[in-house]
Amino acid sequence: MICFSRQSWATFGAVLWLHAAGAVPVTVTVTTKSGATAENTVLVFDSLSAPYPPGHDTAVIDQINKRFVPRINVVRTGTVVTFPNSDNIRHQVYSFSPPKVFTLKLYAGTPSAPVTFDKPGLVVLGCNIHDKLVAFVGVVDTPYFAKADGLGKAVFDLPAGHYRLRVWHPALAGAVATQDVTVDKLPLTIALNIDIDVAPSGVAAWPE
Amino acid sequence: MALRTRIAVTFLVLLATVLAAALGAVSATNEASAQREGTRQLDVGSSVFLRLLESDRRQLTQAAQAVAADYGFREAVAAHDTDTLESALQNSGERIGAALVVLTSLNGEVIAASGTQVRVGASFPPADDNAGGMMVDNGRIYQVVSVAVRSPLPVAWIAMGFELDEKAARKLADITGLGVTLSVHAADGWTNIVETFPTGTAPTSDVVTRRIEMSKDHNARVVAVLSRSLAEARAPFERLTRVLYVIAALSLIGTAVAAFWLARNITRPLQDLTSVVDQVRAGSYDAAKSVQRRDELGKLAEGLHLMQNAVQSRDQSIRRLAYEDSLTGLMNRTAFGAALSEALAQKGGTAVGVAVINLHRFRRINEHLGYSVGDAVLTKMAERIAAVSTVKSAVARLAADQFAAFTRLEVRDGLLSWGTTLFQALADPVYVEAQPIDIAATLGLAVTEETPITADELMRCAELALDRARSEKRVLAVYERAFKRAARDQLSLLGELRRAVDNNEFRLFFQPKIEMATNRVAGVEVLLRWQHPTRGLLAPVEFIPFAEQTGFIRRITRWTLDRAVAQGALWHRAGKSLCLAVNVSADDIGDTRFDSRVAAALSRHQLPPALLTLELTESGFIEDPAHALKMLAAIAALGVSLSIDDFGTGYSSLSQLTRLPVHEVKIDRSFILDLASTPDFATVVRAAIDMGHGLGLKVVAEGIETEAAAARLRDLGCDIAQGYLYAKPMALDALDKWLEGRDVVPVIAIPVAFNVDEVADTVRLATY
Repeated sequence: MICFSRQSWATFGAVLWLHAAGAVPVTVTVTTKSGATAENTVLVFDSLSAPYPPGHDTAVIDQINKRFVPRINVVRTGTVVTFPNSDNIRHQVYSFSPPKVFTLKLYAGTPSAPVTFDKPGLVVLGCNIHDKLVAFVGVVDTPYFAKADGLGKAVFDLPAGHYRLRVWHPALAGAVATQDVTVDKLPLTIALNIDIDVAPSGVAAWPE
Repeated sequence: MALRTRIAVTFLVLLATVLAAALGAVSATNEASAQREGTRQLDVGSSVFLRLLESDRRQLTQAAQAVAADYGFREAVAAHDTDTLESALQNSGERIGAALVVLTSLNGEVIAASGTQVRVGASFPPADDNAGGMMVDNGRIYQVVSVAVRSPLPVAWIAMGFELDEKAARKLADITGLGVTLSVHAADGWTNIVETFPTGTAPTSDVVTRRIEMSKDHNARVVAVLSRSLAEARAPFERLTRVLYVIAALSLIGTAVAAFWLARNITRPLQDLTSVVDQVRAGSYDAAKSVQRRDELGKLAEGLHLMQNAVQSRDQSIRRLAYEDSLTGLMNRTAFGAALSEALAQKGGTAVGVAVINLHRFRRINEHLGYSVGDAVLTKMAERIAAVSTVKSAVARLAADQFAAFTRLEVRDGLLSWGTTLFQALADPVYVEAQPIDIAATLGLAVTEETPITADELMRCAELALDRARSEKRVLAVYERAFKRAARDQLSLLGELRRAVDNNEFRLFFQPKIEMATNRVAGVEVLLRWQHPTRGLLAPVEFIPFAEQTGFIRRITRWTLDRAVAQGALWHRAGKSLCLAVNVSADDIGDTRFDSRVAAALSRHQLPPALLTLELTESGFIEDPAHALKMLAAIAALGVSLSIDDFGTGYSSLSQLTRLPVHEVKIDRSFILDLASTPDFATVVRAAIDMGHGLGLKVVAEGIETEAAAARLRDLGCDIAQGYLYAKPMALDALDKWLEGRDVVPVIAIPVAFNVDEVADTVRLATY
């Protein structure tokens, strides 16, 4: 719940900032071809006009019931993530993903040091002693990102300008091509139809 | 085939069939069992084989997983530390003895490899489940397992594999007990990579096989062919079958022995019984009961024994019937012939004499005294003959009143004395129920000569002698060769006699009779001569006795009577009535129609009966006096005179003579010829003349050749004389001349005054 509130807050803050600069509401709705839920589909708007500097956000990825919660995460470059362990067993969180390689020695409770994700890209998290403990952290250089809600909808307040929309989901069947989107004064609604692999053999590639 | 062989063969064939069927069934079952067992073992082995493969696979998987899960290894993978990776792969491979350990990227690009010729950078696709984990490389087969390396998502593959080489295959073969052949399919077809068999077994083609597709992948089709030797599966059954064959062979031998023993047990008694039957067939009845058993064969033997006895007794009675005379118990003709043959066949034997004995007038005994008396007489006579010591058992009854006997003679001359002995044994009267019966026996005797002779011939000789004795009225006669010739002559004589009648070869001769007191001609005796074409003129003595024996005399008498009557009638009509005397034989008197024949002759030629005299000997009425009396009475009734010829030689009694309707007696010439020299004869002749006169008969003397005899007879009062002294028999011409100038005793000739048919009827009625 704490995690959720912080993220909501961050989103809320960004929206406020956008509005202040004359932001335009952009709504993205994601549907799946199979009708499966499109929840947690990662939607990222990269500004083609001006890149954004890394932020200093914080995030929490908990381990509850031998699950990373949340399992799918998107963070801004430079975000510091802490990995509390809510289970009564120990975990050893590691990543061999190139954007961030690290290992947290077996621990319980809150580890001593949080991890800073300082390079953009996809980081896959695992636990050395629990193969099923997998989480994804998408590291992006923009503040405009969101995960589709239970209805497959996400609402952005984007300042007018040119953007590239990236769409990712670990179970995507085939990569979704990036879309260039121009935000003007009028509210925009983007409808996406993606294909989710119900039983994926691997993890969809991270769109760069 | 002999019964014994047949029984034995039947048993053996039966048993062999049963055994063959049983062995066949067992063999078929065994084969099926062997197949089933082989298949079952193959099933089990196949299952074990797959389990082993699976076990290997699991081992590989575990080993690969162990490597893939190692954090350090994953770190090395992430770091692309090739050297470290290779050493780690080698280490893990050695741990389980894997033949290859290969690390590839997710794309199948080799990152590191150990224990194989696979090089870094080459393509090594992860083991495909579809291929069953089989991989073929350079003609080698590998069982490969691929495990993903996760960090935590799959980033690479570790492939670990064992090589299925000769050693591995042998291990599989040893554990499963199956032959293992691994084949790979390539462009040029299937190639056997490995072919092994369990240790200690030899390759064989007699197998059941199971084909297991280990990999269906097109690039690496691997097939395992598992084989199970049927010979092994069969082995226990073959042992059983061998034992069965031994049992079958033993039981066949045992049965053969038993069957032959049993068959012999049956057939040997049968052979014994057969030999008994053969003996019985050959006529020997002394075979002992050969089989002493309680079973059916014993009963058969018992039955045969009883049958043998029955046949023996029947045989004896048949022999008795065939060879023995039932009345007297003597041999019959057949048996006698056989016994005589036997006696004649004895080499170095002395002469054999045979006697054929005829009982004279036996028929009359039967007729007058009854058959029981006749039989008694025969029995006593038989006993008498058999009692003669020289005869012993060689006695037979040939016919009703005929016996035969034979004896061995030291010398041939002994025959006559032997015959005399026999005759004397039979001479005494036979007493039946205290009544004396006089039986006269006549014997014919014959004896063997130097030359061999058959029994039949010897018998015939004796019978010829008997005929001679009877015809000469002697008690016995000894066979002489002349008899046979005579007999032969007589046979031809019969034919000649017949021809003589047909050809008129007989001639009538006449001998005058002279009345002694007046010297007048009293009549003529008609005598017969035969003008034989080759032998000249024959006297009656040369053919009349034979004609009498054969019955031909009747025809001759008929002929003579007819001619004589005809001649007498001629004379009568010429006014020269001359008495004619015609000789008649006993056989003529026996002819029941003789009186009517006489009457017919007289009637036919119209000769007064008083001119005819019939002369007959005493034998004419001795045979059947009653009939003779009737016949003579009938003839006398015709007016024909009767004369007793050869008076004094027969046995006729005076009482008979008085009853006969005769007119004269003719004293036999034998008395007359020696009348002068033999005083006794004169006495006899005188007695005869006196007796004849006493009975009122005329007395005729024949055979007078001397004047002295004539004078003597005249003194004795003889009425009529006949003989050479007066006239010889002469032909008709000579008689006519002789009669010229002579006085004839006149006869009152009354013409025939009777109806022939009536006479015939009267006489016949009187006769019967």
